[in-house]
Amino acid sequence: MNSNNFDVIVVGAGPAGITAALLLARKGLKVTLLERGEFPGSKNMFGGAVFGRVLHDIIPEYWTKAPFERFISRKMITMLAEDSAVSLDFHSAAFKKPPYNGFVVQRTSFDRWYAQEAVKAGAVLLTQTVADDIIREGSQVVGVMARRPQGELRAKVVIAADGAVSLLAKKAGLRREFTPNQFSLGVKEVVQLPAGALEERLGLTGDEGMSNEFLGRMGGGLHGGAFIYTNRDCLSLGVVAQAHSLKARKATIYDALDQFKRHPAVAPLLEGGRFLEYSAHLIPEAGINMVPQLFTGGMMVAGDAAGLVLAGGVFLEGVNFAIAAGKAAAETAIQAFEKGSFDQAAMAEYEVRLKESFVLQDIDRFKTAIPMLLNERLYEVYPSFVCRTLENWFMVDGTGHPKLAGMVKRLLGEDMGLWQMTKDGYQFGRAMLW
Amino acid sequence: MRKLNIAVLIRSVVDSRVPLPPDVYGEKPLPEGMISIVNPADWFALECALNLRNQMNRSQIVAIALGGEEAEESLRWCLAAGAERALRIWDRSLVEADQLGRGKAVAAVLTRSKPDLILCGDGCLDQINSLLPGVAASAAGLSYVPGVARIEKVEHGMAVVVRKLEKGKRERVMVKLPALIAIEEAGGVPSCDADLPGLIAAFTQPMPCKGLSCLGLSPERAGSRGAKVNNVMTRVSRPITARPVTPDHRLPAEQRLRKILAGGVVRKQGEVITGTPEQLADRIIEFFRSEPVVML
Amino acid sequence: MVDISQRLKFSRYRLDRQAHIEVDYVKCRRCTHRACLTACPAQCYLAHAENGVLFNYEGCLECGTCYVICDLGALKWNYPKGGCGVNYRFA
Repeated sequence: MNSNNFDVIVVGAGPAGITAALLLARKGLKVTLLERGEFPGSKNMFGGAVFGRVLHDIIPEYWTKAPFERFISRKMITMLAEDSAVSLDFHSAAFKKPPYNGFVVQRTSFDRWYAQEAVKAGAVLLTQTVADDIIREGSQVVGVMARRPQGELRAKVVIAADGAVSLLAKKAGLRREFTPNQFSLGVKEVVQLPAGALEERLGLTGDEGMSNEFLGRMGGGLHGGAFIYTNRDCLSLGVVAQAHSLKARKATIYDALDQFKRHPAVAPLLEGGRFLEYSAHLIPEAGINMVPQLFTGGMMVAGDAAGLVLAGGVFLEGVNFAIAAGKAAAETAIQAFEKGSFDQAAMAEYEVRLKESFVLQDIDRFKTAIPMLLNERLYEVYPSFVCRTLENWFMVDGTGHPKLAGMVKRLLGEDMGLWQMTKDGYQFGRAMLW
Repeated sequence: MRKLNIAVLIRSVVDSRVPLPPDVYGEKPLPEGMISIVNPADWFALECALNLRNQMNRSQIVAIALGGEEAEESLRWCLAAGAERALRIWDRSLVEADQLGRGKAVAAVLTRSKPDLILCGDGCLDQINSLLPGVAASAAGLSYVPGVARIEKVEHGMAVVVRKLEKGKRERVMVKLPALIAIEEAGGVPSCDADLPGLIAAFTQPMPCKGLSCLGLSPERAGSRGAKVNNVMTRVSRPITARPVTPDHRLPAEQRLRKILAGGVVRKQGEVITGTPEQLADRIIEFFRSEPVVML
Repeated sequence: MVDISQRLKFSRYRLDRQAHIEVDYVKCRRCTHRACLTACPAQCYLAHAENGVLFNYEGCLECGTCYVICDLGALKWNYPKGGCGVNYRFA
């Protein structure tokens, strides 16, 4: 049987890989989608939100078909100090109607549904199959080696969407060694709340949902953040910590998660909850600096494997970037098949497409946020400074309220000088404002 | 020598070896938690069939499953593992059918395809279709041998099998073919080291599906309308309160109670222990001390 | 300290007989920071008197943190066999 030849091999059934496989199959190309998990989604984990405008272009009105938990109508950003917190709480009517801004989904259900869409379009989904290596002929990539007997699989184009730790991109020589300052580690717990408690505690009705991103010094001095997303009856909550701070601080992320769960701003939400699952995943966060070479002859890299995640402090988006990258890869492959050429020049079109779309533009625009995110005062000083200022200001203890300026000056003096703050303010401005 | 036709009955089950948390109302398990897998005993039976085929070169295997899309995926994995053909039986009226109806449907397939030897697993992980092989055998008028540890040989229209009896006793049984033999799972991880060409072939070929009318059955005879046993409600099992985690005693009584009701109890289950050999040994000794298994 | 194995009991694993990550303990003995002991979110790395660390693959969540963090190249890191390892259900 000589069915081991496909037009395109897509490795990894995540948002990037499935999008590519779906679009290629729609064009009538012979495409196979390799997934190492038992089913698509079984190895996938993220915080919780899909910003699906790009998905709307591929599957119109996807929200009527996809298994989503809640749409996000309320977005919060919280600065976290040791036992206090300050939040920005944003409600939007526009987020509540189609096309919704974002959804909370469970990847196990969502990716499974999305992969079935690709299968319906004609893609061949092979689960429980690891792609171990690429096959080269000269400088051209001509297939992958699957970890199965007679696992040689050949195709004109290989799209590697094999996740944050992309061994394929590394084996193809497209990326250098993985280093701790490129990644953050995210852990998540899913906690089921008693019936009706979630709506009651967060003031939600119907399918409305909330996302809350926390910034501050996590337990054990880890740098990073935390998040809470609302599923239908569960909360997804987790902690994200930069891998180099995990290494430097010798602190454990699960202790940080536990401390986060006990924080006075979080603990009441979890009251009476039942633990469902604990999961962990790496997030490529170094932005444009870690984006590997995106293509070589016969091969493209997409999604987390290409580091296409927008980490801009208040933004942490990956799935929409992955879908857009998968789409760009599919369009490049379709064009290559029209021209009949699959060499490096043909694949270079992929990078052009990404640069024209929001994918590389956003990541490039927010590359100035990376030094800000690596600035330790963002975690060590400012959140607790803001919280302490407000705590002192609102405190009624019989000594009278000071004017804000005097108090800020006093509290600042404890932590650092005005000059340092101005420099950091400039850094913040460069990152987010202009 | 005549060609030996082997049929293997494959059932898709919910993996119940992991905790299945209930939904917020405590009425039924969360659907996301229920992962459909091939019944491990049935997969073991398929492996026995493959071994048997390797020993006697003139034989072929057909995998038969009753069920919806999850059965189709199970059958494709059987094809990938080496079964020659797969046959799915499904009909909308079988959704609510009882074991008798489903057994009749399987029996109809068996009487039509006339296999010499029918294998299946003894027992079913989620208990839902555990009676199916027995009912099918009796409806098709076949001999039924349950609790089989291994098949010794198949020749001259006879099969010699070893059956497990109580208290470790074994009996050797000679059974005239065609017969349905239910094999007990021997434990161990089911392997699915299918080769890649086989896997691709299994997942690209069309999969026939037979409805009740193709089998000469009517919904009144085999489907939900003929069902004598009807499912009124399924509830999750109550967690076995083996090791309750005591809530903090400083909490008020009402909160303590809510903690206990909400998840303060951990379901009894197997434990994967990790550590240095010394720590492992200590943990094992501690386990035997705390559990009434052996006296230490 | 949090005992993470209590939480992993709720996860669905299919264990391969073979470990998917191989640790070269000779290199671990030279390691000065032993960051894997604390960085691993599944507590797969335990302190060991002789080698410094002891690795258990059973609870691995396949995140890759140990691989990213190890600077001695002591790990032969790979994904487990197809279908094996952790299978999330609610993530």
